[in-house]
Amino acid sequence: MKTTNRNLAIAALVLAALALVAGESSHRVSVDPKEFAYRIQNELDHMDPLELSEWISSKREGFRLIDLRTAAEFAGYHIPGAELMALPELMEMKFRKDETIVLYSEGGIHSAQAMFLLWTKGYNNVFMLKGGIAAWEADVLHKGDTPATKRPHAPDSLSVPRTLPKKPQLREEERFRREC
Amino acid sequence: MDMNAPFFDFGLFGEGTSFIVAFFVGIGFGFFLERAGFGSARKLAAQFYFTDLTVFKVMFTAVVTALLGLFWLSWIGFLDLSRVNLLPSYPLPQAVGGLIFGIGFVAGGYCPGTACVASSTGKLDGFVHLLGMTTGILLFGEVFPYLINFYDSTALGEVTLGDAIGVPSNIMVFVIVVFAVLGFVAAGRIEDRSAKKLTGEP
Amino acid sequence: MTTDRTSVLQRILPWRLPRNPEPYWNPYVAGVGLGLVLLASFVIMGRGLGATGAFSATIAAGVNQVAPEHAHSSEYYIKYVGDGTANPLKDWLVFEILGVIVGGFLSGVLAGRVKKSIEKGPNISVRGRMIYAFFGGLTMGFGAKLARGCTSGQALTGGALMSVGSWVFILAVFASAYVVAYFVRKEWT
Repeated sequence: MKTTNRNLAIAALVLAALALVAGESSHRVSVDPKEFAYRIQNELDHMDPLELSEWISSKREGFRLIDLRTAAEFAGYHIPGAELMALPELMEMKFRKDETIVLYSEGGIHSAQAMFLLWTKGYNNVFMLKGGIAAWEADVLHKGDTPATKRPHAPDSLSVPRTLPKKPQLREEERFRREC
Repeated sequence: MDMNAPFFDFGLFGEGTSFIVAFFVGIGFGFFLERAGFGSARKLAAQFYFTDLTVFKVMFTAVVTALLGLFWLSWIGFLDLSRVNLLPSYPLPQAVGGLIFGIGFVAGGYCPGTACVASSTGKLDGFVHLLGMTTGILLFGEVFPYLINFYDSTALGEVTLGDAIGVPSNIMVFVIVVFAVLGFVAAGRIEDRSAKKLTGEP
Repeated sequence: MTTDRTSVLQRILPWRLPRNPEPYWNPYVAGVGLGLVLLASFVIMGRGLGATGAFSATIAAGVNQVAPEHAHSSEYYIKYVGDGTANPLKDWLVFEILGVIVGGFLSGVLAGRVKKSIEKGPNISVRGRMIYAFFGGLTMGFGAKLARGCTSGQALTGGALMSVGSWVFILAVFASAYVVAYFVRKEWT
């Protein structure tokens, strides 16, 4: 028994020492383009300004709002609660797997690209502000001023669960995942 | 290497089969629990009197084995660790729950899994323990509405020790394994000393 | 000749004949076995082990049968019964715990350790032990629900995943068990 124990201990220490040398696993994540396409097609990837403004005014917790514009633009005006981050900096960030991240840029293109990149890193609770700051200004700041710029509500964006909310009825798989 | 695991997440089989998998995983689980002697409340309780530290040895060995397995299978690209379900952390209710659990563990002599193993190997006290546990769960269900704020407090989300203190996972793995081995050496010494005390040796 | 027949019979029907129970396995070997089962669960299902959840689901199903209105109006049970379409027993953990019972029995049978008995120390009565077992189980069950798991789910699974809350849980369990051990020493020593 003593030899077995010694061998097991050696094996464990060797594997652990190798781990120390090997470095952290390169965060390889399996990426499914079809899943991404589905998200985009069904507009599960963005939220519109009114929904975001509701999140902010209701002091909703558990999400981070990130501004991808320049420092000057940020200083001029930014959505309350936003953090300024450049794209390379965003790629270095380590978010929690279940953290909700909302990205916005001037018109939305940069935020869409950043969102996609975060998806490839394995973060799935990432959304972009549809229409960017421009849409925010029109729909939220200057609500009612120019009805012509009112954007139609994306039909799915309000009904999609953004995080795992405390819904009373958890779907089978979700409950299955949470209990132990 | 192409990522293949977790198999369920990659759609290799459906929910029905997953229940069959559950059954066989459970068989393995119960089998090794009994092999280790955890069908015996006396052996389990002995941990807390320093006479038999099997609980510590088995649990920590299992954790280290799975820990190393997870690390290396992920590192070689076989297992997609991001799809493995990480339990969300609620340190405050979990700490208090742990304290309460500990009282019941040493007073009752079993944990839920070992109580099942004990019951299936004929221990009547194991069965009574399960009855008590059922009552405890029913009680919890009834007082839950009053506890709900506490229950959901300190919600940190899915966070690992490494994340929390800013240490990469490979270093965490190394540190944990080293501590485990040191702990096992210490456990052996403590057991020897307890045995000597019983026989009256100096 | 008789010894040969006896030993053959012992192999086939171990629970029929009186038999000396085998010694337990080397704890480290058993631990590796347990760890590999846990790892297999991660690799196959993307989740770890558990135990308390199986009982919660079964109890929820029971409550739903006996008092469905209560189950549907309770903030706790609603998580299990949902809108009434899914059966709470259709739960991974329920099937797993059935396996645990079978696996424990199997190991016990092979080792000659299946016997109607009561585990207790020399200085306590059977009645005393049973009272401890019941109320210990009650306390343990309550604590497990509050902590969202038990030693299988939180300590083993969460431990291997290095989840903060799980490690906090296991440290709390050991801390309190060591302290309380002194007060229940009559039960075991």
